[in-house]
Amino acid sequence: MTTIRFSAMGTEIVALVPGNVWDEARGELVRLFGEWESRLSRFRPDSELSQLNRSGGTPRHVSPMLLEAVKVAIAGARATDGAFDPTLGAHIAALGYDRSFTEVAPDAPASPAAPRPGGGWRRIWIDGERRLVMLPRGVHLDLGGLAKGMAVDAGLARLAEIGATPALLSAGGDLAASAPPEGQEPWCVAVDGRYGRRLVALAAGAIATSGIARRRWRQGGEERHHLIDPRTGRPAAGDLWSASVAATTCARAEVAATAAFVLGSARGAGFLASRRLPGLLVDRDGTAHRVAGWPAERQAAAA
Amino acid sequence: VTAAKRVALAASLAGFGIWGGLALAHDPRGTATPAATATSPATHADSSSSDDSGFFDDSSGSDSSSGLGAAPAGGAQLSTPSAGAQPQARSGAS
Repeated sequence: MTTIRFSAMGTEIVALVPGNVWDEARGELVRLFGEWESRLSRFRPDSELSQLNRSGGTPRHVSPMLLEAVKVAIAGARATDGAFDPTLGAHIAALGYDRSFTEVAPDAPASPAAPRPGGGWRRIWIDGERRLVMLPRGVHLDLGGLAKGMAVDAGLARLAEIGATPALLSAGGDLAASAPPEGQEPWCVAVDGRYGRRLVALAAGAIATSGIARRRWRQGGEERHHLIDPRTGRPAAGDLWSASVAATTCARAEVAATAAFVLGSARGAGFLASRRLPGLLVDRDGTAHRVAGWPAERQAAAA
Repeated sequence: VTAAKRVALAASLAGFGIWGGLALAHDPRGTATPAATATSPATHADSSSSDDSGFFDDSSGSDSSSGLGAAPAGGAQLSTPSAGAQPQARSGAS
């Protein structure tokens, strides 16, 4: 297996593919992630998503990619009863995260706007046949993590189409893998905890992690992070440091991990168990809870 | 198309989404849409493919029309790695 690395969607893309298809696989992945980023980035004023966000109250014709992303986002919000909320774009921008994270001010000025709950996804209107989407006025989509997850799923499918199997594809830690040939060892994945990493074997499927180890900043002297609780419109203040979830696809894993993080350890564990989604919930003090069949891990050796 | 004709047409159509689509087609600026869709769960998502009930359903297998990618049959397959296995990838907050 050989490794492909490049930057896209504000993070590092890593793929493990058979060596004989490296060139073609890299070309396909760079093109695919480039298209997802150019269409779905909320930091590019000319992206299709930014244009949709500016069109509140008016139906807008969208590409098949954006239409599908909006549909999946709404389905994810419904399936989590709104704990995953794709319509917090204006909220997180008001908290100071209104540009690529490397350009976010480490201590942004306080926002004059009072936080308000999310839930705008309930009022999005879609005509799938005509590929029309209408956002309510003032509601902005932020498809960040979900878009990465969907791009990973699409990338893995593309790799399979060109014969690049088995393969593992990761976008900043959200990953999916195709099954290795029978008799071969499954993929070994290091899952971040609070104070170290735990190894799990992934034969097929996806793992996504939502947490606050990264993308933190200050605003008006207060600590901020990027995982917003739609009930309050403020950074989630629960007891979790991170939530890692395994699912059949990276998009599903991403939605479930975000929802579990927002819900906190007790309700998050109940949510994952009820959906039979294996999860690893790590408290802010570093205590880890295995849920719904998450296997006993091995501790990774210290780096 | 008058409002009365719209109502009659809507009554002849079984699907709320079809009515919403027609309303929008006759009123591309969408002024009729909110009223036509504001009282139903079908407000968003022409609902043809927003399968929220099966969103996490691992038994659904591959479904290229769902937007969720090609899912491996049987769900994600996790286990404890064998002794000596070395990490090939990392999952963490990004």
